[in-house]
Amino acid sequence: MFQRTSKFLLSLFLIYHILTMVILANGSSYLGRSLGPWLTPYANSLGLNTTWNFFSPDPAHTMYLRVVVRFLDSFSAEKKESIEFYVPPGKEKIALDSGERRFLYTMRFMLLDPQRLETVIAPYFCREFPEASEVFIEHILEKIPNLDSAHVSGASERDIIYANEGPLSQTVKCIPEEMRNLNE
Amino acid sequence: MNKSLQAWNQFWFASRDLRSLALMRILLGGTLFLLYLSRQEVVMLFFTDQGILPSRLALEVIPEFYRPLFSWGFWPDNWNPIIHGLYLLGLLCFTLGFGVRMTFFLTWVLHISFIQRNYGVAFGADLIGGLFLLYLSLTHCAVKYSFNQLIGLRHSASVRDDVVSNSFYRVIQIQLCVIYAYTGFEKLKGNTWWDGTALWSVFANPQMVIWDMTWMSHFPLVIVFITFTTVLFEIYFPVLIWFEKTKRAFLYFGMVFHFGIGLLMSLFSFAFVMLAPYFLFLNSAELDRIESWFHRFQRITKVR
Repeated sequence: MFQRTSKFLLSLFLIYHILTMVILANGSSYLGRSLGPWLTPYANSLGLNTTWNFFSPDPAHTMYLRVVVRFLDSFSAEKKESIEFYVPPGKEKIALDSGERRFLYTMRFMLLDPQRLETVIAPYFCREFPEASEVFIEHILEKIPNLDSAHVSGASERDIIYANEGPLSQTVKCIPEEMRNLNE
Repeated sequence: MNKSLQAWNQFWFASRDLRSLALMRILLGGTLFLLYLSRQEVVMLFFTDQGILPSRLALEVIPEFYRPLFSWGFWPDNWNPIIHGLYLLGLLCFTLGFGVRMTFFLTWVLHISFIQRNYGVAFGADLIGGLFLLYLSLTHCAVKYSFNQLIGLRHSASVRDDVVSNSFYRVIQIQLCVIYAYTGFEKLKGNTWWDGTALWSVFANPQMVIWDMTWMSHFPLVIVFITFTTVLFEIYFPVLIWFEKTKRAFLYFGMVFHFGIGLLMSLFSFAFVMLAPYFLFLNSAELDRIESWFHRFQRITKVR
């Protein structure tokens, strides 16, 4: 009797778990939207709510960031020469070091949302350079030529898109941490 | 009705060969251990207030739809370097099969808490590895090929009939199928996957591959073939893996596929995390063969 009851309860749980697994993998669907409130709290606590979109809908193009840290006084005159660098440092080269690769991943993730760029990435670079007055972050995308044109003219020609106008590239003022906390 | 109940019972709760769970444990645990050993030196950068993401924003940066109700990390943020060390110890014990289900579950708690602490830094291997770690922690994965076995830790005779362990064996198999299916379906939304040129964008992207593969542009038909084969494999794996006749071909192809990704993109951790559950699709005769290979290898190395 005990085993029957435990199997019955476990079966109910398994149905719920498998439904969560299957439905939330396509969370924006009608089922995902309507059943979401019953499934997401459970799935999000376990890390089960993920879309499995590796290299999709299309593989990403080469992407990196150009960061310029500026040191200006109150009259916007340069106190010190600006510092410019790229993330990852090798720009379009593969990051083999796992730490460097994770750094690029986290930058990419933060960059996808302009708010995260303003509240996380820029303040991080400001902390790294305590005298900095502002940080300019530019999102650079090197578009890979399609197979047809690469087959005819080679693969070296690339269209580089600088997203320097728009939310993915921004200049953010450095605000001391204490002031930031006060503002919040 | 009775027949359906019997089939349900058989599918979810029938006893399993614990050797496959043990092999999966060793491959998954070993991979995660090595992956996070290399992460230990960057713990301060990714998981403390001195790094990129202040703890007060940790959950806030996660998109609302994926945001958990609570954080599993209940300790102060500046403990993270030590906790990460403990997590590595937990993974080592898990790999060696030293401990019980509760200790393995606690290892998973540490795993998920680091994912939640900085969601942006998580690789696919971290997310999938976490799920498999959770499921394995609920099974009797440390009965065979383990330190527990070596020191003679006795398990009750009913360990093979444990319904929780047996059902999570199935959950792992289904999880793998769901991952493959959706990965394939998602690709069908992309134009380049439809026209067969998607893998060109991977081969020609120096941020993704470790060698210059642009010479592949001279072999467009090979690219098209590999692209379509990838999509077909991912979509059909969840169905054809359950049939004895097609199972082996899919397992072999999956091995080549993941080793290829590992070699070309230096993503071995992802490859091994995906290959670990393959052991659960082997039957007892196939597991016997693996065991006899291992004994033969042991004999050869002893003679030398």
